[in-house]
Amino acid sequence: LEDETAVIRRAQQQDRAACDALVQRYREPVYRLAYLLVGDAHVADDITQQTFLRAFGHLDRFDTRRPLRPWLLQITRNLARNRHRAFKRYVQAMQRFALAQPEPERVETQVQAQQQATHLWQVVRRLPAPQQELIYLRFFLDLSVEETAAVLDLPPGTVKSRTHRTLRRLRGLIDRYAPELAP
Amino acid sequence: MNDPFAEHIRQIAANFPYPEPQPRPQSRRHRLRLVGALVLLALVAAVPVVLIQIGVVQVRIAPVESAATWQPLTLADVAGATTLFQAVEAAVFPVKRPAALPMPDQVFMQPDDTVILAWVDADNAPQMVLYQLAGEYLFVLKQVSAATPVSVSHAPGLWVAVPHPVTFYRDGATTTAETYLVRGNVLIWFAAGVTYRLETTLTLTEAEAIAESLVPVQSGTLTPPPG
Repeated sequence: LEDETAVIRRAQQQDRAACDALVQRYREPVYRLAYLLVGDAHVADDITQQTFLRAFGHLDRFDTRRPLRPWLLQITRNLARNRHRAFKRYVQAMQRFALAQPEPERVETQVQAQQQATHLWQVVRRLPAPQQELIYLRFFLDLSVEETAAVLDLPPGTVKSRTHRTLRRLRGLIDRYAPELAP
Repeated sequence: MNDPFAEHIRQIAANFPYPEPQPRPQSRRHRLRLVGALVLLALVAAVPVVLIQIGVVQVRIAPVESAATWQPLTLADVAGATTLFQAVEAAVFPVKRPAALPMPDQVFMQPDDTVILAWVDADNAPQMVLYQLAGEYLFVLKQVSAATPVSVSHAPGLWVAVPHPVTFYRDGATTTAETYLVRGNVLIWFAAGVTYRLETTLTLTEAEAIAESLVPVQSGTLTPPPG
């Protein structure tokens, strides 16, 4: 792989091939986080495109000594939050009595592991939004503590302690709503 | 990561079936708007009893029989007195405060998902109380005779300016419910997974200004407890 810093520097000079290379490299984690946060493939695709548009619009200010992935995921998170607040949250807030239990938009493969992961996602969505984000970043996208801290703009120690608390809470939700997911 | 449960979750999550990206059809946005309109119409048609959910707060709009049945909630009744520093450190969500106001006079925390900030007068009577509720186990029911839909920084909200009973439910090993009388005005709104409930003697315009000025409290700007 070409050195990421070199690619970013070329993209900062508006080199089209370098921009395409960054999209290719980071499109998947960006889309995945967007989908986990909003639960809609159409909206997640919109957010993915907006993430890169916004990133390229501000790339001249990006510090190339930092890793790009957490910065992109931070943009994704903010866009998803705004999108959520603007419409989906409003409708849900007016409709629901209990917390939302969104169904996955499309689960094409019915293998047990995927069903289990989808079920876990539904349980995670019962957590408050900040804890959902933590679980998505650390366990669904498998980011390191340091990367997660960069995305959430928190000290790594805080990420560790919040992860501990969130897992404890998730365990309680699993015991209550999805005991088949317990280890 | 040595935590076996954490590893278990990571292994399950690794199999999540992300759908292929699907570019949005042009008409979808319009369909979503239509759904929103239908929801609102359904609420209007449900008179005389209307239920509105704002985060964990459910507001039941119907004639209130008699407010004299309940006692007002005083700060002495609130459990979990703590400091703002400890609340910010322990909360599972970013604790916020109005930017233009001084630090709260009293702070309460109930588990790690409910933070209550209170500003009191010289006689220790509450002038403004801000509830921040991120809990899954907490549910609040208000029964009011009238309420005004509002928007706080584009988030859905409700303004209640009549005395009404409010019931706090906490669903733990056993469900607990406590009902109190609210005499003041209340602004409720829901943003980024947190329900805010501002109880105040202020007007709607003033309460909205306070609500829109909320900023996260940084624990680094606070004095930690001694020891």
